[in-house]
Amino acid sequence: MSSSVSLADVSVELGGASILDDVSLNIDPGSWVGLIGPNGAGKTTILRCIANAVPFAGTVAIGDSNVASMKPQAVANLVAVVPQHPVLPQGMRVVDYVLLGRTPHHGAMTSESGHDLGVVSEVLAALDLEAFADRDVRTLSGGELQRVVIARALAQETPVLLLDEPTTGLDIGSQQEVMELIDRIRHERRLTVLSAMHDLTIAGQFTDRLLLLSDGKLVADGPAVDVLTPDSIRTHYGAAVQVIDDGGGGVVIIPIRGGRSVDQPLDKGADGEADGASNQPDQEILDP
Amino acid sequence: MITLKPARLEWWWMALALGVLAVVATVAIGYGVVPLDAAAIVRSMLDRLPFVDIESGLDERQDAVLWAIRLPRVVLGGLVGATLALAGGAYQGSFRNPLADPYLLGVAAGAGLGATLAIAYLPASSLPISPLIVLAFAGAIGAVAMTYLVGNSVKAGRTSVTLILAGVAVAAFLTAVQTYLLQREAATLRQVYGWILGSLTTVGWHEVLLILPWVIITGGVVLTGRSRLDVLSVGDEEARALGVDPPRVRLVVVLAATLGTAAVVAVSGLIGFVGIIVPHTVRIVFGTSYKVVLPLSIVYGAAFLIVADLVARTLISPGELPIGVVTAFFGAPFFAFVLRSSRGVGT
Repeated sequence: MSSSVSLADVSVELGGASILDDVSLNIDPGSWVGLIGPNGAGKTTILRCIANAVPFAGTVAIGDSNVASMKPQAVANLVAVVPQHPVLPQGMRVVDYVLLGRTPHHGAMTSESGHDLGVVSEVLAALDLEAFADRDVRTLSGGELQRVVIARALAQETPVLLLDEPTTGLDIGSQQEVMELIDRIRHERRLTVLSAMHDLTIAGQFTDRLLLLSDGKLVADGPAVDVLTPDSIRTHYGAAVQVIDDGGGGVVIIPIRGGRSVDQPLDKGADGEADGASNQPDQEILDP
Repeated sequence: MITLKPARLEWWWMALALGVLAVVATVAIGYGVVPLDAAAIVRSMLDRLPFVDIESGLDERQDAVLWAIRLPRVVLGGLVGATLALAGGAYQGSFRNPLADPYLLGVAAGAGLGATLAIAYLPASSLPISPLIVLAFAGAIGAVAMTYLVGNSVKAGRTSVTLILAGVAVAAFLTAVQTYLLQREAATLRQVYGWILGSLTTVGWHEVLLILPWVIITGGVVLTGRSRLDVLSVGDEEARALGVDPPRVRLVVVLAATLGTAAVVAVSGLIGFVGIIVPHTVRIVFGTSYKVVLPLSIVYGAAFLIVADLVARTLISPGELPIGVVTAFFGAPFFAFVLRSSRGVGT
């Protein structure tokens, strides 16, 4: 059920400010693409354009469907969104929250069917959430909640899944758990996934491809080892980092304290941990 | 695989509510200066069914009290209470605001101005419908229409809060006009004030038949939107991502709730508190899903107002308390008690 996503010359202006400037990109069916860039670069706005949640100029297509001309229900049958800060209704239990994901499959009048309950039950089982079905959504921990919000998105049974900062606010174990979960289900369900990410190391480790946004423009596009260079991170994030190839297609980004010089011990630590010569050409320490 | 238990209206919750309503209604019909026996009431009702002929045991005077005074009044109270409670729940869901009540968008101020105009300048005549009812209804609808016009004239950053603020402005303006009229026509003050506090005084079925079509429309439309209101509880942006068009749902549900509210306010005055207390009590006891809150609010709203009216007409008998005073005086402490034993309410 996978589907391609393409943007052609997409621009967004809000209150006179340009948020996205002529962005064009194509995402292959079944791939996982990470959207990275500093705060305010336009990552969330790209996700909102794809979900047709913000007025934009240009064309956004999912498969052959042009989202700008579609009703919310039609879009919601193609794209599911996992928001960064989901609104948690008072007194709502996990089962009812996940069941909201079946809304686009109903007509305006009808409520849930046995089939809807079957889908929810299957999604809860797949995400190991069965024990939480009767819990109030406001009592969940960060990691549990993220799984529940993803469950709601999966209950929509769309070919495209958008995630806005899925690991923000989670501890390092929960971050890995959530990312592994997304990776597993996107293979099982052959989903096209686009996620906005802040953690560059994790973004590089899990996604097939990274898109680097800066000031509303797409400035780099490719595998992590090409996009995440010390130069590009310094230019667009204003950060001083060391980049180490992890040997598995990803990179490890290590922030460097301002003022630290090249000669200081960090270099040595990186050497000790690296797995042989493969990482040597990528090693570089920036002088801030 | 586990068995899922999503929020839904259990049949026995509704059966319990209808049972409470039946008991309350029978007591209210039977109690008064001319007492009526419960069994005789039921027999007299059955006797009115086609092809049924039972001796009720009521004499002519009792029969007249039952059919021309008590029953119309109890039915009217039930319809008013059911509509105000349902409309309150609908407003709370549409605006995601626990403090929303059916008077939020200016219904009360508009109906108040209409009633004042009617009382001051259009003395009761031989018209088939009293001008007071017509003007109060028109004022209520007109005020909400003004609120929507003002709210929709906002260009940027329009949210549901914009509409509520527009309602505040419209209500303030209409109340100012009403106050000015009251100052000029001081003789009408007492009558207008009495209307504002609410009353279910009625003889015969005139008012019931007048509001019934509006109440049915309101009930049908609002109940149809009950699962959409559950979706709105995650906020407009997420609701839209789930395939719902929030401003449209809000427009349809709020307009339907407003029609019913305007109709019942026109015949009963501004009975406060029912639209807040009933849906919140149902929420606390039975759960927050609108699939549960709205249907149960209809039945418990009816029962609540029938009880309030019974108290209003018996407490200082043969005098009568304004029903709005009773709903607040007994409703507020009861609601405080319910709040105390709950885990708290919020958005």
